Amino acid sequence: MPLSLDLSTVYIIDGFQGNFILMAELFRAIAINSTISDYVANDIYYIFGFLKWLSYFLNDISTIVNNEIMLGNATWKGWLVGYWQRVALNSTWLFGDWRGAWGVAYLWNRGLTCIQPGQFCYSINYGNLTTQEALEMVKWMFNATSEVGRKLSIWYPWS
Amino acid sequence: MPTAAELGNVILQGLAELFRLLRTLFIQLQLVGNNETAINTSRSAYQSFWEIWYQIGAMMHWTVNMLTGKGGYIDIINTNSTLENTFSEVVGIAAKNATWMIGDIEGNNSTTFIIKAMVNALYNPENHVFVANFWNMTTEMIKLVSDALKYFPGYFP
Amino acid sequence: MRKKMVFLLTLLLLISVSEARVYNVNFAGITQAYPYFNAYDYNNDTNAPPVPPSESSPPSGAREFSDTNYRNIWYPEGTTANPGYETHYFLFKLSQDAAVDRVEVHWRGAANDGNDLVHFFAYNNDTRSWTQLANITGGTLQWINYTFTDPDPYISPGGYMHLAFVGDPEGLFDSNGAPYTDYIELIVTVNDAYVQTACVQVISDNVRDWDGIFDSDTVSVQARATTTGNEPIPWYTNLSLKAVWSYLGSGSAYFGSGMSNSTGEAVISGRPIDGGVTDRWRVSLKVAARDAIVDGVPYTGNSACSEVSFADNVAITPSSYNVTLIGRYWDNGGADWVRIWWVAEPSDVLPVNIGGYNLPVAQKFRNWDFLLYKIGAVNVIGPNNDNDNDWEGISSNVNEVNSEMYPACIGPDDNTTQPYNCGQWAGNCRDSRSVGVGLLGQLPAGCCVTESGGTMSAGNCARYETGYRISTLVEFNVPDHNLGEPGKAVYKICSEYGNLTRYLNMVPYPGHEGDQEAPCTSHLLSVYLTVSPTSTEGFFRWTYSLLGMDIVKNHPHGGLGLLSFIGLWPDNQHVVGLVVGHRFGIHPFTALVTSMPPGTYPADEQASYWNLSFMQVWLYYLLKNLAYGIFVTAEEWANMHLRYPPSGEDNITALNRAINLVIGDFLPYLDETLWMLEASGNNTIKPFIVSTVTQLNDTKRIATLIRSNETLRAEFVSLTGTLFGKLPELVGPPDASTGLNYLLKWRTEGLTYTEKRDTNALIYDLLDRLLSFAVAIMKHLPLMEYVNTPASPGWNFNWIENSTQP
Repeated sequence: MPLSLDLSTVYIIDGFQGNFILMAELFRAIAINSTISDYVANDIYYIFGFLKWLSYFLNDISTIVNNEIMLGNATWKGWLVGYWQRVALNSTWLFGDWRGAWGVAYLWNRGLTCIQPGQFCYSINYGNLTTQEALEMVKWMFNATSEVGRKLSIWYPWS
Repeated sequence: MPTAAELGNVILQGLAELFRLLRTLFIQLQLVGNNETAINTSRSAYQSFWEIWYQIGAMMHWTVNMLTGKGGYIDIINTNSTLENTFSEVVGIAAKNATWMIGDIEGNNSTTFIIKAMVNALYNPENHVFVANFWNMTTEMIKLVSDALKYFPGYFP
Repeated sequence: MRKKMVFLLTLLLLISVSEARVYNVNFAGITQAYPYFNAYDYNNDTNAPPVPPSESSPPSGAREFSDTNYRNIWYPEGTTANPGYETHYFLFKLSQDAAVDRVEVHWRGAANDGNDLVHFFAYNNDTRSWTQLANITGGTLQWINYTFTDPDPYISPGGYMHLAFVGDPEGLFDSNGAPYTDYIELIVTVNDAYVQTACVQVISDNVRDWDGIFDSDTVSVQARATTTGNEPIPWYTNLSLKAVWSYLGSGSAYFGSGMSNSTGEAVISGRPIDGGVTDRWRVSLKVAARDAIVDGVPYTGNSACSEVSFADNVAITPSSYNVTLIGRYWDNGGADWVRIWWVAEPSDVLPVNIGGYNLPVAQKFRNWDFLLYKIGAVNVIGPNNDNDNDWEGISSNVNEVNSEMYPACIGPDDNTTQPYNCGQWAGNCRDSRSVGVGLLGQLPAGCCVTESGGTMSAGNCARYETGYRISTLVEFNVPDHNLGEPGKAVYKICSEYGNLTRYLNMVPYPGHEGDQEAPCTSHLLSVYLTVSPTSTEGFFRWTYSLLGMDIVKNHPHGGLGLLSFIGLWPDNQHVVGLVVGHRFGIHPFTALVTSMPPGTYPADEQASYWNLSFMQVWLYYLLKNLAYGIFVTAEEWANMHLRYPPSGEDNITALNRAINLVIGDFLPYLDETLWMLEASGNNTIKPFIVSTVTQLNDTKRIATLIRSNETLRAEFVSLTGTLFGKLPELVGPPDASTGLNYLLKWRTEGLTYTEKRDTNALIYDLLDRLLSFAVAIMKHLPLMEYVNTPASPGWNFNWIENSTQP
């Protein structure tokens, strides 16, 4: 059975719905399990510690690159500048154009068009379903944030 | 269990390193911008920067359109009563848990707690590097933007 | 009175049964140097040996076995000792007769030939004479088993036991009747009251705490056997290495053995795999003294001083792999199931040596064997795929794979010096040949074709199957075009193309995967070679001939261009991984796989069982294995500073260098992927877009199942808990004393400027290729809407109809 433009749009939206569902389940797990929200509260300390060392490492690499370019190393200059130039030259196809015919903009355009009345995604209620899943995710995200948030002063005592 | 003071220290150290990284990256973008012609003679400084900015603008336009445009994913909340209920439920949760989600004025819970911890940690002399790095990063960012803006009229007359 | 007798008897029995220890006394490991057990042969023309001159020596004229003959009687493995004389005389020093409650003799051997006999005699100290106790007839190896329930008369006051096996050639006792001895052992029951404790001390060893070795590496220890009073015990026969673990399962096993010398010191060595110890993270390696009777003293190793550990928390990594993984598969025909079988033989697995030391839990793979078998399930879940009961396979293990069932392969090793060429078809692609008696073309030697700057060359695959394991991460990939003869034929015989790019590009999708023709006009004769079938897939499966001449020989084990696996691998039972690749140079696919216990997944042919309820079983193991993998990784990384210390051997900088090797290993694969995308254009990019979209559809199916099935939901919650609970161990403390922070800190501070710069160059290269890949995909995405021709297939293209069915 071959696909079609409509079916492929549906599948792409499926990808989003699937991710919303999984994220909702993740946040729900944090919200309803006090053991897990304890873990998350504790993790904040370690995440910032990781941020420090990750930044330290990335900074070292970037400094080396900058250094090589300032020394006049043609290979590095070519790579770095060339890379950005290629992104720029292809930016229409990557990000999109104002008509919504290319890039990510095209995907969003398709996503919007398909859920309009009379279109295929509308007929299978996908607009509502997707929003529903997104709202579920946000709901659980709020629950999870509040569960973790209220533990912070208990988890990190002032003295 | 780390204390709030230790948390504050770690947050500031993490952010301080992040600022140092961002400073390096802003410098790198300046190097990219200023070397465009050296790599491709038909291009001029910061051309890639602005081209990408422009197309991302197009992408953002469609993102907003998809969400809020007529019949878009957020717009349909207005027309679908079930979704409207779910939406109010979500807002209700936010309202009810605001003190836990965002925090209260004394700095208990969540964001205000974290900010309070950071503020307290700033009094620690070891953490003055946070301010220094923040300042250095901002300097480079301003240099980058002003450098790039010089060429803006050339691309978008 | 009777009651009293019964009571006493019971008491006695209880005492004697519960306070006895059983020893197995044999010649394993014994040489001429050993003083306490001796074997001799003796020339005697009468049926029984003479009386021994003393309790501790055999009759004069007895010749001690040579070391070779001793070796032959170490184990009952069929190698026999036959020094020449007709009496085989064994002199054992056991324990004093009061200590020994019972002796069983087990001797394995044979008479000289079919009609001859061997008589078993034991020397009775009380009657000062030899007693015949058993015999055997014939030249085949057989056992003589005899039990001494009251062994006292046969054991001298000093604890010696003399046994003789005398060959008897039909009644004439002469040296024509020399017997063969394969093995002899005594099962000796000793009264506990006489048993002493043996202790060990470690002098030196070759494994450090938190080290990592292969299960086939030799562990070697210098140790000393001592009494509890610290006196060395010379000639202690039963020293062993022992592996004990209590992390993620518990158990123990002995491996390796040794015997102390005249000073009480021993070198004990062995390989963990010989004790069945493999695939474990925290093993404690110990030297153990086990039960032995030495110089008349029965010893036992049941005290704390009898086992001394010399290395703790040692990771024992498998030296070979034979693993089955099951999972979901997505290609342009839809979603389906796969079974993957990966075999890395011991010669395929190498250590990673940095700075002179083998890095713990680091391995390099090469020339491995691989089978990916796609199951054509009935009632396929998800978008329709190949027809029901339609199986396809990709394999690289010719020796064990049915080439009709599994047509395409990636070049298995044929266990000779030439890796990565399809062994069974050695003459096919490896060698050069002339086509159509040279009239149509000449094919060069080599199974792999490479194209560089538009110019083609064939060779024997410059870049071999490769891969790495570092800690819990495994990746392996094949970055070459093993396109065999069909690949060579394309540019050597057909004038339309000139190189592979033009062939891949100019021939539309059905000409590769389906029934359409790929045009081919001979270079030399300008003859248009019409074919049926000629698609690329057809070329691989069936020989294409003309007028009885083989133009393109079929190459059923060729055709896989690229394959890559990356996964989380805490141990062989808990693997989760992603496979990406393509078949016949065109048909790209991705697959998500996990290991499942045998019996939990259906057989390949049970097409109807691979259904929605099986999917939930598969998801269960996927979630469980992912949680397990995170757990083990976190605990390993929490001890990264111990496994890979800041300095010394196996240090953290060595680990970072190994990681650099892995990054470099992966790049040629991306290189080739990109080349393939650009060369075949629509033929690969469009199917790849379809397979990605199919994956997204399956994501929703998986997410919905997790939410609706209570068991799966619970596993997901458990996975979430593991992830957040173990995060601190994964990243490590903010002072970077261990964990990922430690790795990053030393990546920055331990490597040299040049190393960092050169690895960064590799990473930028990687980013570059990923950018090209992203551009290719995004450029073609909107085009899928507008065209639908075989040359430029769109969303409405029927990929299944345009694929060749088997």
